[in-house]
Amino acid sequence: MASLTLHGVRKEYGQVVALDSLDLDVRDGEFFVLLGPSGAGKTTTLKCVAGLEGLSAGRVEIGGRDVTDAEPNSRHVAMAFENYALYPQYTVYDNIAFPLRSPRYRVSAQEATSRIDRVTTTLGINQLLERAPRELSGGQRQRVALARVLVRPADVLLLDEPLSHLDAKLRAAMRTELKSLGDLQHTTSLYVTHDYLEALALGDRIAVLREGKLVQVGTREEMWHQPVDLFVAQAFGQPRINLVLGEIVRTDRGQAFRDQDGAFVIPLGDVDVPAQRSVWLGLRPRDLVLGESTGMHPLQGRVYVVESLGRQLEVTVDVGAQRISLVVPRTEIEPDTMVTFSVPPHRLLLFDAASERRLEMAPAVGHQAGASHV
Amino acid sequence: MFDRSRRSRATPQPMARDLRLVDLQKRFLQRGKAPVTAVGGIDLAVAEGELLGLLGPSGCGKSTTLRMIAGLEEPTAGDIRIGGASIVGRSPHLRDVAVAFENYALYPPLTVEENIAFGLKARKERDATVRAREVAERLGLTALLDRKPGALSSGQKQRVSLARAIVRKPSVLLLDEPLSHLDAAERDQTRRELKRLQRETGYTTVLVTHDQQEALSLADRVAVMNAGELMQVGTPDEVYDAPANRFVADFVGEPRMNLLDGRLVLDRDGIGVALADRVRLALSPETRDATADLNGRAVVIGIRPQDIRLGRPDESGMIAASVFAFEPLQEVGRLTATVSGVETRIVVETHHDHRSTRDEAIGLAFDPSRMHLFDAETGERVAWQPESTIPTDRFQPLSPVTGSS
Repeated sequence: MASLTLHGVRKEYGQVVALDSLDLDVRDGEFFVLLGPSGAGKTTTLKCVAGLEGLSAGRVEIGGRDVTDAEPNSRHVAMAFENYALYPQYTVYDNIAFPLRSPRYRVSAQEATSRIDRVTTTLGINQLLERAPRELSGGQRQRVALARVLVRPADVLLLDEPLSHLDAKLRAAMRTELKSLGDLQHTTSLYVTHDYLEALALGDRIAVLREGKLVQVGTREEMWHQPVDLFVAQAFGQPRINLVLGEIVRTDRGQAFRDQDGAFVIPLGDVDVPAQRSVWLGLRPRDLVLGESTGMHPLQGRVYVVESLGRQLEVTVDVGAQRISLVVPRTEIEPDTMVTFSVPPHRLLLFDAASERRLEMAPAVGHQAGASHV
Repeated sequence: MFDRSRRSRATPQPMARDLRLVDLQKRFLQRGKAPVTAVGGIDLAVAEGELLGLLGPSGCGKSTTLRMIAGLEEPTAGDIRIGGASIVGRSPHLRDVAVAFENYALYPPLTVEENIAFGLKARKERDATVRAREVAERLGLTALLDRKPGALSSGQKQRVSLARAIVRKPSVLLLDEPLSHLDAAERDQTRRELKRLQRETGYTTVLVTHDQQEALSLADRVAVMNAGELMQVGTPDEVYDAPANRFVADFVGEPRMNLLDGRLVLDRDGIGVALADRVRLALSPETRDATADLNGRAVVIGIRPQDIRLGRPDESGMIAASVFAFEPLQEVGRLTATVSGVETRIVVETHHDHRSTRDEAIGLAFDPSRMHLFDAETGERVAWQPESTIPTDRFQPLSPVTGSS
């Protein structure tokens, strides 16, 4: 095991900058998730660590050793590819055992068998060991590719969207399997995905990548509650966070948020937010409550659409020109009727409209003494 | 429950008509092989202005059904009636049915406006351009009228495809996986617009999808298909709350329903399901009549992850379990537990601020009013009438569920 460090990594493909001065510090034994849309540079990052791509600038260190110019096979990394890359002529067992037979690992036959047995049992493919890859479903192949990486002794595991080809239900089940794999959770791992639920479920820490640049690195709680900008706020949550464009105005009872046509007003109280020309207000659909609720600010709107989510309803409400999405327990609610819903003041987020960076909402100085009752 | 379907249903268009499928069958003959039954005789009525979601996994016969309604496949037997009149044998363009396809099928060299008006112009209908513009406005496409399909996002293409279908003012509108090529953000918005549009325009609509969430969101009623047969037809709430069989229970709902194999036991401790030697779930006494014939038989217990309460392993009424994995997903937690002697792992949805670690000892209590019982042999639901509905967030287990006491 080892730590993994990227210093100012840059990768250009001709005129295109795929990675731009990327700094990452993955701790020894940490499970680190890279989250981003396609084209963000996630897979390129993995390839740079694995040595499958040379760097245009910067440095890669594994366990404190500079491996920037080292051959891939001397880096002690194992990589699972999105497209499986299984040997079609070998059985599942031989595909998984293949790396262990390399003289470099010098794993005894007995040790190899016990490793393969443990990993394939956990991944639920121990019944398939004698089959050929073509006899497997896509999900099974993906698990074989994963098993081949997990059995192999490596300092760093690199996993490229290992669950992306599975349907929603199998993906959720396999995510749980990965979470339960102690070996995986305690091996330094860099895991690439575009699925925010995988990032939240698996990552000790998460890095959000956008157009080759690192936007934010942090824990799942930081990503959720303190996104640095609009991009990160929108990267987590389904349905997506509601965003309303407006401004901070001063009222006789402290600061307030008001949207452009003045229909959407939320008092913010005594918070230390500078009066901005323009801000985005972010409200997560599951934080909103139908009806009036003590300690929350009520808003009125007209129901646009009501959709079943099974146990819950997603209700879309028009407040003036703003279309707001709420996820609420099932209730009788009709399209085109007026409803009241409430906004919990401590769950809303503000972003500067120009920079799209999140604005801290600290209590205003001078009111702190009064507010800090125990 | 019926209220809900009626409530969300649109006011029918003047030209909207009802659609009936009567014992509709389709067999494909293959040279040298046994014929394949794609659709095994289904009966289905779609009311005027209703949106019916035809839901099932790939290969279940839903697309073949849609193609038969559109006239792209001829049925082997049975009838298709629009407004009471059979349309079987009529050529597709004389059926008064419009289809918006999964792959949009737009003409690349034509503008959005020309694409929408194409069908009308081909039939030399009057006011083609005016009508195309009206529909475009309805769908928020006015600003895009001069663009070519190549310059549109997937969501915009989907709306153009839809506009082209409804500009003909068909009696029945067919939507084939309309959201499958959209990314998550586009899908949310397009789904909402589609639902609103259907409600406002009131077209009798059949939506084909493999995505259970899409079907629950959009449909007034959902028809679940598997292997060419109809499994269940009902409102989203009905299908979610009372799945007619094991297939529907497993297919509808995310997170997926827990389905646990057991044996029905009727003895002096009451009615229960033994999941393992010393693990027994108590069923409510109301199930007595429904389960009378099942004593000793293999059954399947279904319970959704939201309907399991967590507690301490030694608490009375709790099943002792151990944490296999815990995934903190911020809005909720997903806990996967193992119970000694029970092969299937049990998934529990927890409160968002719950935290657990691997191998932690916990207790599980199943909400008896939210348990589903299926006959293991037939897969059919064993239904009973609950005397009362117990609020899910504060229920108390009825009796001890670990069998040792």
